[in-house]
Amino acid sequence: MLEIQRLYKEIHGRPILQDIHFGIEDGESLAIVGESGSGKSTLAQLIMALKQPTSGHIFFDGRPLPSKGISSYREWYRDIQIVFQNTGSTLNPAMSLFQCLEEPLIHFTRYNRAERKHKVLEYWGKVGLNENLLRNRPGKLSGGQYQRACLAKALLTRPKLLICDEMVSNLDVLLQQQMIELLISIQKEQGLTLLFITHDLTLLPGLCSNIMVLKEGKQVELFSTSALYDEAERDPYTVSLLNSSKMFETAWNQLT
Amino acid sequence: MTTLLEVKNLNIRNKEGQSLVHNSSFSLETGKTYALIGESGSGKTLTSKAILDMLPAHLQMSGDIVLQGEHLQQLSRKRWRSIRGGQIGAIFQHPEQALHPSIPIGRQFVDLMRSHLPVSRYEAEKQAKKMLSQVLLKDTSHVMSSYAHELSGGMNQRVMIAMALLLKPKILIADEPTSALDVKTQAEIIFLLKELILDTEMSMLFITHDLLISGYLADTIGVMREGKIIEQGSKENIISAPEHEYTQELCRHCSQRFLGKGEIPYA
Amino acid sequence: MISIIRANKLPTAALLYIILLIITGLAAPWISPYDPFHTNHQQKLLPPSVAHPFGTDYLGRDLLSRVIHGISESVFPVFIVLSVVMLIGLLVGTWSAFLGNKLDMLMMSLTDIFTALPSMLLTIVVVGFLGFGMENVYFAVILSWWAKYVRIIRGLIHDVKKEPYITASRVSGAFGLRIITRHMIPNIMPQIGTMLILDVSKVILTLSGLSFLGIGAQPPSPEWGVMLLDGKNYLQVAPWMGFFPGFMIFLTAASFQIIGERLRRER
Repeated sequence: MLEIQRLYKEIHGRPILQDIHFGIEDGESLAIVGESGSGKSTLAQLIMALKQPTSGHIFFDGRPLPSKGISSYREWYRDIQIVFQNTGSTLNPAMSLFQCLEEPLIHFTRYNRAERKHKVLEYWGKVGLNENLLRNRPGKLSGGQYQRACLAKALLTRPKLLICDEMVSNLDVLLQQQMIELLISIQKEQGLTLLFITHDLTLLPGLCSNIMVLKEGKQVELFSTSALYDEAERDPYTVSLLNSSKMFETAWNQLT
Repeated sequence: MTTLLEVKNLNIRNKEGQSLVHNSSFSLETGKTYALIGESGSGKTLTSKAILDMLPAHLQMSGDIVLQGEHLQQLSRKRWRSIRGGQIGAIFQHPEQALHPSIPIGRQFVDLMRSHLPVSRYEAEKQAKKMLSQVLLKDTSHVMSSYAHELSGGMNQRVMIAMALLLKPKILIADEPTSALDVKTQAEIIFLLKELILDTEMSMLFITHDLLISGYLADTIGVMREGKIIEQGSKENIISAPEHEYTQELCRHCSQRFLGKGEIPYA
Repeated sequence: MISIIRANKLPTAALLYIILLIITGLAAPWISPYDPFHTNHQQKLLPPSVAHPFGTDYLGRDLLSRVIHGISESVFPVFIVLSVVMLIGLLVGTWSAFLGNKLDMLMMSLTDIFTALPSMLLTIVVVGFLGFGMENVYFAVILSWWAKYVRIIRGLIHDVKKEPYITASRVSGAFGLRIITRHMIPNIMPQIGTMLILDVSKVILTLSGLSFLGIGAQPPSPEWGVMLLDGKNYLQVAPWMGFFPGFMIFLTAASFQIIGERLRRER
């Protein structure tokens, strides 16, 4: 479905991504794990055609990354959507939440007003939010609610691929868990293909079938999640990421 | 084991009379770490701001904050501020916000030190470099001449810790210092904090939403929910035998995070 | 709602006054007690009374009626002039913000020139060229104010462009004009609105001031500035002639100022 070929991206002369090469199959879920500065957000922006690669190719269902023309971009965004990290300003603060969610429907579908309303309510409910909140502005939502709203907005045009760029990174631990569980249930229900970008490996079991580790713009390794703890097989860098939480784990186990 | 800081019946209200923090009481012992745990909106950050006399103007507080016998709210603003710099250090979630964006790091250290102590520029720079190496920053000269935006998040956080510890405070208040960092850097910073505490016999008030980190770092834990401290005690008691339903849920969640070992519940 | 009013007594009073003023101005032909141009030499220079609450002027014209009709000379044109300025600012400022470097810099140099010129001086010079009369004054005011709005709006658009929700709107399928009208402009309007309200009072004073100098409205117009000019000559004999129009100018300008300041504090 998604194919990344020999991707290379330079910003101001500095290489941000080097020789990135992988693919995602229909219905699969891939996690991209890396520290800050590993280039994972830039990768998300490239796939979303918000930046153009310096060299290399990105294909979706055989179609190349759009670079010109509104209609080719619209085609792309009909199939690939993204949920960003919660910074409190990924939704237009001057519009009501209903209008925010309606926006993609207006551009990507031919639904009339009633059909749009129906869709918005359907997905609003799917992410577990109360109908009354739709009248408000985004600023009135809590962090967890905000991210759910963004998730609903990304899903209601039924894209084939969803990119989650550090979607839960700014949330409290319990909320993170809830969001992941919500994502898993939607994934199962809609057969969504997922690209989950994060710095936290512990979020992945249950969510993604494969993991790709990124370090300073380079691919370290790509493996199936079930092999995550096979330390003998894993690259030392991946093991060091796993060990980041080891000291907490040890302390915890001593107490329980 | 003496009580260094005592917070008694802290109440914080907003203009409409709503109680944001309700009757909170806890104490900090010398050389011990107290972790105040809660989700966003639980009042934990407001509590730390109250101790630092940094509450937003539209909020009112009542209660006692006693530092080594001195009632902080009864002091003049000036006195409270000098205590804040000298005896209580603080680090926050976004170091880029706490550091001056257009003054090189080195200058900020020097200015800070010389505003509290009568030292020469040279002496202050020496001290600053020493602190920076203590927080495990290599190439201290480069850091000293850099601006905050030129350094990574993790490095900035180390710089902030170094600044907070420069005047050798008795208490360090750390308000979610690692929430904006990736897991690897987070682990490094937490480890660093633990080492520094052990070396200097400092007390720390660590504010977080993560019970897991607290299990590693803290001696005493307090759980806050909707402005109230619903449970507090030694970390052994809280984690092995949580009493409140909310605390139990937090513990369950932490234990689940290690479920992964060998068992991936993925269809 | 009530609590908002109670917390903002002065701005609310100012707002009520403005609303009343606008309604009165619109209803002038029906509620004005006399014809503002009707002269009556028997009734000249009468002090305020029940028949003439504001008194009469040197030509026997009722001052209350003149003041009421003056609303559409001294206040309404201000709205129109500023609307034009805002439109120019939006069109040119937005356009400039999206232009390439060279054209944008050209526009900035142009606005630099205009903002460097003192507005009063520019206005007088323009009127000097074009001749006296309110239409020319309106044109001159637009000429001296447009640059400020172009600059500010261009700056606001520049800032808004970087906001995450603008990127998100592209991903939602919005492009070009739709992003500008639906996503950018609604988010900068609050700042522009506040600026406009504060400028209303400045422009009221400018227009009345120029009329007072004799180069704006001409007699027998009931414009307040020119009424003030008339009243100047009769200060000893009939102070009410100058007092009422002057007071109206002051009250109206001050009210807009109060509302504008209050809105600015909200930011």
